[in-house]
Amino acid sequence: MNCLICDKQIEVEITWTTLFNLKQQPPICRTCTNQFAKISTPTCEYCGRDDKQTCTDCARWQKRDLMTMNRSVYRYNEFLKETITRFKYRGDYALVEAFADVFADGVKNCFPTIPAETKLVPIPLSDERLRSRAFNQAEALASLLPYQTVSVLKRTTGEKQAKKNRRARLAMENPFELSAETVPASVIIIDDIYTTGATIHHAAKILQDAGCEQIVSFTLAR
Amino acid sequence: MRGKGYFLVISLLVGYYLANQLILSFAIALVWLVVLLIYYQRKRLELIECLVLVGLTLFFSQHFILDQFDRLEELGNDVVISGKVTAITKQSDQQTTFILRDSASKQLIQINQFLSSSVPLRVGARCQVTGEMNFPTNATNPGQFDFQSYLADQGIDYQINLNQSNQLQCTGTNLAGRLNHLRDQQMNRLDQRMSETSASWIKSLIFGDRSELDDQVQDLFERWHLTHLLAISGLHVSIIVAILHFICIYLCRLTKETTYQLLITFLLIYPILAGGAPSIWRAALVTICNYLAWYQRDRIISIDFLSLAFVLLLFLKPEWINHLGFQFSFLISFSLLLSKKILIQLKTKFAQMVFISLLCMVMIIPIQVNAFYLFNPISFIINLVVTFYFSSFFIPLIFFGYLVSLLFPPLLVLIEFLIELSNQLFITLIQFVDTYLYYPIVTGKLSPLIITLYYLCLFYLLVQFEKRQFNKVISSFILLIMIIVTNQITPYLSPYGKVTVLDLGQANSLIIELPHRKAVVIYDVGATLANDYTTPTDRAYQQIIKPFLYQAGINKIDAVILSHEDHDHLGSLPYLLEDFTVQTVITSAYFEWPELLLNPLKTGLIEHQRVKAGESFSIGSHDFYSLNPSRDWRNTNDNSLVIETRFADQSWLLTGDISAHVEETIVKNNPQLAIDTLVVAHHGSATSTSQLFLTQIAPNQAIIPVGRNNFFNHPSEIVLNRLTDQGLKIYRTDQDGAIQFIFHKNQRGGTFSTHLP
Repeated sequence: MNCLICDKQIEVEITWTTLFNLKQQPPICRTCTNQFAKISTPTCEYCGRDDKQTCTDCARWQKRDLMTMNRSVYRYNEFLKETITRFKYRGDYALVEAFADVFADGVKNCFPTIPAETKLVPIPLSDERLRSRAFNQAEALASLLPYQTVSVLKRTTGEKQAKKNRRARLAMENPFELSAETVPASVIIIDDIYTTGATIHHAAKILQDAGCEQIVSFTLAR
Repeated sequence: MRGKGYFLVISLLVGYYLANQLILSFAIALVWLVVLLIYYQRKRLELIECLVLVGLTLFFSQHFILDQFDRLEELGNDVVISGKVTAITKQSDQQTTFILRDSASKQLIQINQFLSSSVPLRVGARCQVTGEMNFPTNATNPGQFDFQSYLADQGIDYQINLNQSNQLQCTGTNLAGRLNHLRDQQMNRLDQRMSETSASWIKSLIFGDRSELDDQVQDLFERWHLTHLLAISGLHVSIIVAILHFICIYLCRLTKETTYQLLITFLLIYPILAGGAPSIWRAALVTICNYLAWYQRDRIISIDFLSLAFVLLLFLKPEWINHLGFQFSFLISFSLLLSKKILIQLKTKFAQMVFISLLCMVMIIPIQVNAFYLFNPISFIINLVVTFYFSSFFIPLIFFGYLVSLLFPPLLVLIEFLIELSNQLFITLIQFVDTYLYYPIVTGKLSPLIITLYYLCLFYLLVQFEKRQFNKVISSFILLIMIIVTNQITPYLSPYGKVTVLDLGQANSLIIELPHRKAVVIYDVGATLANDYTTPTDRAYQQIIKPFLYQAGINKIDAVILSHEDHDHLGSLPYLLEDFTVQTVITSAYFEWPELLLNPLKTGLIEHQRVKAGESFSIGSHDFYSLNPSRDWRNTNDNSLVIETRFADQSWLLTGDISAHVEETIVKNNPQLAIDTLVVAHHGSATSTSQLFLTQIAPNQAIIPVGRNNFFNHPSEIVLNRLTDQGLKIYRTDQDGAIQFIFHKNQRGGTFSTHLP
């Protein structure tokens, strides 16, 4: 099998622990795995980053008391940036498998006490964007997790977040609206990247207003 | 199948289980099928891979049925067989042993030629053999090496012994035969040019011929589990390849491609030149695979290559699955490859070497123990040192020596001096260690349950080691030791006792293991003579008594009772005292040590107790009563120490070689004497076992220790008739093999069983 990212042959290592391992071999090679920077212990209890002590954004978010915390698997480094670009803008859907193990393990480790009936809410794309990309990267990531995904949000405006600067993002009006009549009591919002947290908190706001009691978010990159 | 090659190995082993219909073989096959389904469902294996694996299991479940040829109808004198020589297993001045495939029946037959062959035999030759065909000798005692089943495991059921040169005519040879011839030539050349020691080392380490290596050295290697250094294997191949590689690349300035082509060719031929043992084929095939992978610009997964070599070798030689060297070689290679991650984590070279040495020892303990019934726990330290010495100095020196003998013979003197010197130093050192540090653990035979638990525990330990969970490593190591300890204390927990009359031929030995192993008592330790009827041999001891005691897990004997001075009753004592701790030797009051047999009790470490008629003694709170000698009969046979003792409320009479008048004296002095089991005196000679005696003691069964086709025509017809007339059940060691009586400490009576059906 070849690596999903670099396309080189994956060196299989059979040792005592992997001899009768039922898990499939991870579809990315060790060299590529090592280029991702995994977040082991977050320094910011709120947004889950591990490279900075104080986040001014987080203090503000916390005051609004929309959700408990965000957690992420990897730091948003150059390598991950390239991989996500390939995944989401160039339509390499198969790359989602590269994150299967870490994403599923991550949610288990970050939220050990979360109730089993928790639902996943992937950040939706606008219809127009979904047509051009063919898939929603947040939904793809949510499909890796052992929880049910619900579709309760809808995007009203189709503007691209990545094209905006920080100020514009924070000042933006809420781009989401509720698309279902009821919301689950406990949810995990799923997205690919947590940058300023604006998108996720917009979504959280809608969910909280609709009566959601416990909201956390989980992203691939921070 | 990349990285999944080891599944082939498991498939093949399941096939082996099915073929031999061992215990639970169907359950194991079923479990394997379920495991494959789970792997398929979890997408670890693809459908095609699962089908290949199931197919392999089915194929090998047929392939491992070794004896699939027509039975030969003729068995007896003057059978004429013609066929091809498939292997030469032994070649010395006195004896040549080879395997012939009969062209008609395809049956393999072992031919033993007991004369110095004038014409050297070649593999691949067509031969015609005329002679008496019979079955190879089988084991008649527990623990004894069973030559018949050993050969049957290789698909050989018959043998022919040749004593005259006109019984064998051979012509021609094949490629393997020619290579063998080249090997013989090289070895002869070494014999002519070099001293015996140097030649014998080069012959064993390069040509895989150990036959001329000093027996004492080989024995030391076996006692210290170092034999793997003598068997040409990965170590030797890697050293030789490294040297050749160096010569090709740096001295001859060849390209990598040419070098690898040359080395691949060399590795295809070298195993035949080096005697063709499984370990060398394994090493050569894996190395070839590595070079081929280099050509393919492919990354190397050694475990796949090893698995392929395993399957390929067993496809070609299914009988190797029973070969100890094969088992050791692959078990160790697999476990070393699987320990790759542990070894990387171990950082220092020294820690890695200690780990490897220890791993090698614990990995093979169950196989080692089931072949030799013991292991030497501190051997891994010696192994560490000696392996280092062999790989970094001695093997390169030997190889260099061989090259010198080919290229610059004048330098040979220096090389020989070096070899002799290092050999001398090395042997002295090992002998020193052997004298002071040899503490083998005699385990006896291990049950399949113990072996399974042992390997499961070991696997868990290694997994935890790899995960660096050292607390769990320590606890599983303790568990591993507990498993061995459990095996060791089993006899002490068992309420069953055992009395065994060994079949030593025309010699006696009766071994008593009391319930809960309260004591081990031996009545007589006889030895047999060589074919000239005069030279004493250690055959009975080495081949029967020692293996029997070891397989029962015995290394300490509470008492040896010697009936009298004859060689066939005490000849094995000196050997016994060398290997076992003996607390007491008990003899009759008139016993005198034979001159030939130096008094082994001189050291004073062993208590010597003399007993007369009417006296009793107790060993492990078990009572023995002496009924003879009541006086000095002035005859060693008649002065035999006669013992009466009870097992499970059944009385036994052990009689040595007493004659009729002594028997009559015994019954006169003990009118109440009634016996259940009589061990018949003097191998059933007509001079003993009188009618009067038999009527008086009225035994229910008689055991006659007697040799097959013995010189004296024992047992006598008269005695046999007397016993039959009295309605006794007769057991004879020449017909039944060893005879065992098993009893429970709290129950009356027990059961007799014979080793031969």
